[in-house]
Amino acid sequence: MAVSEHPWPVSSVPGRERAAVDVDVRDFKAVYDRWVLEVARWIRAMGGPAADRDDLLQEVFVVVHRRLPDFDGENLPGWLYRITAHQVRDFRRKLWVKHIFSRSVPLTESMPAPGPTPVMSVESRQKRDFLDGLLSSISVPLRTAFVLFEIEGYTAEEIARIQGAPLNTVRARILRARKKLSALIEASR
Amino acid sequence: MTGGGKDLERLIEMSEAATPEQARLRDLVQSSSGVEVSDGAKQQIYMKVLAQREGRHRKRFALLRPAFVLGVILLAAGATAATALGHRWMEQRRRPAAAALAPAEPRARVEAPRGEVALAPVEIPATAPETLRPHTPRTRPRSEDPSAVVNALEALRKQHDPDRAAKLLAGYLAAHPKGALAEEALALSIEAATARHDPAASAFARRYLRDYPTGRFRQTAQAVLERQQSYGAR
Repeated sequence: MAVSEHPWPVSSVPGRERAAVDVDVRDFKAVYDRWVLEVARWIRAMGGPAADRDDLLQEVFVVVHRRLPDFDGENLPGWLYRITAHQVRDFRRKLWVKHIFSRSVPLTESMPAPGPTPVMSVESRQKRDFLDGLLSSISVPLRTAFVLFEIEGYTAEEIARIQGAPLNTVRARILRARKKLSALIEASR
Repeated sequence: MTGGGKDLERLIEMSEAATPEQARLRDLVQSSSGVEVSDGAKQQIYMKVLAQREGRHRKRFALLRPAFVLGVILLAAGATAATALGHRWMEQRRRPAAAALAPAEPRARVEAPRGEVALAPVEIPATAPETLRPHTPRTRPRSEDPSAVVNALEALRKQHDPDRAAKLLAGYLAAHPKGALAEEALALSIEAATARHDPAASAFARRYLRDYPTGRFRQTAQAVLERQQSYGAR
């Protein structure tokens, strides 16, 4: 059985834990069950529109299903992350082209999410929309590092591993994102 | 260490924010929940993935069918040729023996034209129907890359280079005639051809109206055709 060689550390953030479970990388169902939630988190962090999240998840796992037989088993999270990044980038490009033509498709991820919106308080929804607006103003690497670290509860090591970036770069991105977001908040007052 | 670095603490775990803006940012982060995917949604997406893959498998098998038919035909032809050659060889082996037994037989008969009896190699003419032609390996259908359309749009609108735009769009439309951005690519092709004063603009416009009779750019396509007709009338 080919098992992913990089066990996934468990997040320390309460309520945002992730089980450290190794999966057989040849078993698509096991990979899907184990990673679908993580991929959904990455899609959000990368700025994939919430309304299109399920479509993006489907696209990502269609590619995973097709390429899994050729996968060497090294760093499954990193491999999945790269596929996700490509799919989100392509999706945003398509959306951008559509937007240029029609001027009717919103480009930002502040589209209404299919979730518990009716029960969500107006205040927290406003906060969320405000944060989404701020996040859409910073670059994708900063945004991804910030959302994964601050909201999704990833450690900097986990982010470095899936992005294939040096740990110090990830830390610097998180700090720069904080600085930029703080500046944007200040400017909005 | 919390969050992967001795010097890096999460905002929500900080006892005190450094600035009022950071405090506001912490408040925003706290109110933002992590992503969740319900079991129902998980199952639904999984089924869609499998269904999509199944559809592609069927298409691939459909592409392999002519190759299978060709293989069977070649095998049958090979077996027939081998049987005929075997018979001929056996006959030729028997004849010298018969000649030795009956010397009055004319020699010429024994030395019958050997070269003429060899069967010509099985050749498939270039004009043969599709199923008889050798199967050329087809590349695996790749996921669609919209870069060409994005680059064409930039070339056309920002760099004012309609030649490059036209090439990129032709490439995209050839690779993905039914792609997600095929309509936009066709509309851009009309624009690029018009900018180059290329008469192909009307061909693109006709193609657009044929493929997308109620499309968003039909007025542009109609205008191009009308303009061409008015030039023709002069």
